[in-house]
Amino acid sequence: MILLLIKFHLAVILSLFVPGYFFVKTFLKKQSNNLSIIEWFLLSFGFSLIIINFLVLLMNFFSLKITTSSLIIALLAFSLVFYFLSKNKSGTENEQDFSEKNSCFKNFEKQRFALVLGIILLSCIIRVFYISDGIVPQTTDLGHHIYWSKTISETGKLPNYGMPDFIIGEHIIFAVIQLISGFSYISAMPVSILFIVNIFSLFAISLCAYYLVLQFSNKKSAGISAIFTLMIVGTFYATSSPQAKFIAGGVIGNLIGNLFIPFAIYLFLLAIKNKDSRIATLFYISLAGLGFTHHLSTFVFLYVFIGFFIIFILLLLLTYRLNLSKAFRDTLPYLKVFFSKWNLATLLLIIGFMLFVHMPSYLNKSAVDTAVGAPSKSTRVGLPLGAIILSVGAWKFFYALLGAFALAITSLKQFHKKPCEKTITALVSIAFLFSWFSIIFIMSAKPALLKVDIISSRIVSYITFPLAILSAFFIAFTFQKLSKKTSPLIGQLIFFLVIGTGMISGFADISDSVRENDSAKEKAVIQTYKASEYLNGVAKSNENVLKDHIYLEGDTWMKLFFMKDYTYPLSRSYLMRYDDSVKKRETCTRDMIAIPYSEIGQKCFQETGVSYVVLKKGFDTAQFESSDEFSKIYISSNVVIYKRYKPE
Amino acid sequence: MKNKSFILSIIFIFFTSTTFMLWYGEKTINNTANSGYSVFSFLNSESIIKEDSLSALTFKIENLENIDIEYDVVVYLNNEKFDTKKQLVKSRESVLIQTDKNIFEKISKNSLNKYEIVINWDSKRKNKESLKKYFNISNETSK
Repeated sequence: MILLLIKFHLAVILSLFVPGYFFVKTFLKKQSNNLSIIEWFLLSFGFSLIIINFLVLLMNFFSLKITTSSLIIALLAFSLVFYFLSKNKSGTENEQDFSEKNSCFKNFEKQRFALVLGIILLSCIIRVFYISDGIVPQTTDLGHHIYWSKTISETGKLPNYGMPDFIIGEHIIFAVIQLISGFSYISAMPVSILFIVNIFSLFAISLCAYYLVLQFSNKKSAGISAIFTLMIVGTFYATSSPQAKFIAGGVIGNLIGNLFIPFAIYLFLLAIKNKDSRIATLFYISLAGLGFTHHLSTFVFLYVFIGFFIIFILLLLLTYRLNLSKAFRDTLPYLKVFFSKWNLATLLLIIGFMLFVHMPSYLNKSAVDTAVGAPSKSTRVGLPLGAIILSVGAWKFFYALLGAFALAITSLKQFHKKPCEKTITALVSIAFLFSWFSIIFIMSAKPALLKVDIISSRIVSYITFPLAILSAFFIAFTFQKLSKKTSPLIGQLIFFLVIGTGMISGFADISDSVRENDSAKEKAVIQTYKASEYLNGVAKSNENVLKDHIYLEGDTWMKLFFMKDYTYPLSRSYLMRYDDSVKKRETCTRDMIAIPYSEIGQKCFQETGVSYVVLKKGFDTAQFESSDEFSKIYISSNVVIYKRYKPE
Repeated sequence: MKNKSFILSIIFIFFTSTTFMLWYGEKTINNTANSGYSVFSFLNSESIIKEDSLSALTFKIENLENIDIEYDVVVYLNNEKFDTKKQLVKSRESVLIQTDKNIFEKISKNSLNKYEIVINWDSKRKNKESLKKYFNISNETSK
């Protein structure tokens, strides 16, 4: 066990830190001194995640088998190449020192050091305890995803999904860590990786908050906003979506998307702030990473970016009082950053990669058509305001609205100033923050306005981050105003009132959502695994298996014991799913359990080749118990397996 | 220096969090959750049995409880009591219970197309439960 743990940590370092570190170091050689340690940490992690995906995609493209040794060689070779590049490369004209010591996390004061560490520690503790109450892998989403990762581990090549629901970037990282560490997939390994991703998304959002606020406010305000953002997303409402709940549930795409969205925005702002085309290149690469990981996150980012562009143009026109030539003159230096030769080459490279090496599975007309257009189902018509507030937390929503109001005041101030080049960076940040909040809010509440046809409850989870930034900005904004205008005591009282109510609301949400450590459920899941092991030993290759998703615990993970096909074993789903007025569904998986003797049931058994039926003991088993057509070949306190008797 | 201690503290937090989750996961999957129940199964699922092969009628009890359990096992062939056994299964061990070889003699006296073997067991701690298997006899003999 100790060896396995050491190998896991080494695998994480080798695949999730080293390649990204040297890659970023090569790009930001001169600027490196001005990045804080958290920024280094985040950039190394984010780019390692992207690099791993691209390396494995390339290995697969060149028909190199994905094995432990090939992965280690590829990762080491990549890291070595970039290590030498970072050592030898001389600076070019484009390179520049950042004009000021940028980061909120650089050169800490003692109290700030302790506060940030305390928040990170508390964030980790809340998540670890939440995840541990249900550590046996059992959630449906994670089971589906991990099947594909195991396919990569077992076959040494990337799978052909044959459906747009899965994206390769969701699965590669688990396969890489599993192959290098040797940890079983039936373990806490997958959630541990998701936990790391989630904690890094906290760093990303905090840095994002810092640079967003910095460009239209002062350094102090930006620093306070960053720390409060970290506190709000890290500790308040820490177990609701898209935080610990998504880790435990294995919502891989959303979690990685929630890392890459603020990560990309952070790079975008950093590139603008420093007018640095190299950082713009990193921004494009981070977008590619997002695109290869999660369709919904990419879709949300695209909408937010379009919204940003429109709001930015409006603000620009208002601020420059329709003086287009001056507005264009001031904007041009920033635009140039994103369209340098290197950046165009990078964009071409990404497009070439998509066209010739691997096209994300969701980039086809039918998949796009299902996501864009008038809402087609009741779950996609938008959520009422109450449901949105409930899902994000009342305190956060309330203070975010106040934050948006404070932001509006700040932007009004911009209109009265004489516009200059610096105005552009302020407008970019204001427009981004407004767009991030308002576009996702409209997508969640009134998706028809934006022609969005996606489940509203999934979109609403993306609003958490902009709300956290806005509420943190409000706290910073008010705190600063109060400290100037009132006595310190009143200022402190109001401050503690705001944070205190946040704590009550945020921690109450955590205590409401704490999972029961249900050992009986964990035992039931283990019994499902055990039954799967047994079946895998006795079932012949031409014999199909049907299991019951309604009552069996952890049944989605059964496919990992067979590794025959994504749809093996067949599964009886929730009964309401069979009544779909839009799309006709197969009903055999339901009928073979509900009415196995009927003509329909018998026909289904013949058509599907099902020989084994796996059920939860005592749940829909009566018809099999009394049958002389089904042998009962396996039983434990929770699972029972019947075999259909086929006379010769 | 401050940066160094900051990064070391973060690494330590990460290391302990993930180590705890992985260790706790392994402990739960292999020990805590994998106990307190027993598994009863036929050794294989064959329903066409070669005449002298008992493996398809062999029955396995895996005791994952924390105590030893003694079972009263009764074997029925086509609803007739065929064999009875007392079987002690120690904690965390498994036992194979073979059906008496005479079963084939008994079968040869009937020439049915379909046979049913039912294995019943009972213990002080467990309610009466059973497994059943429908099978044919193949004319081939096993080697």
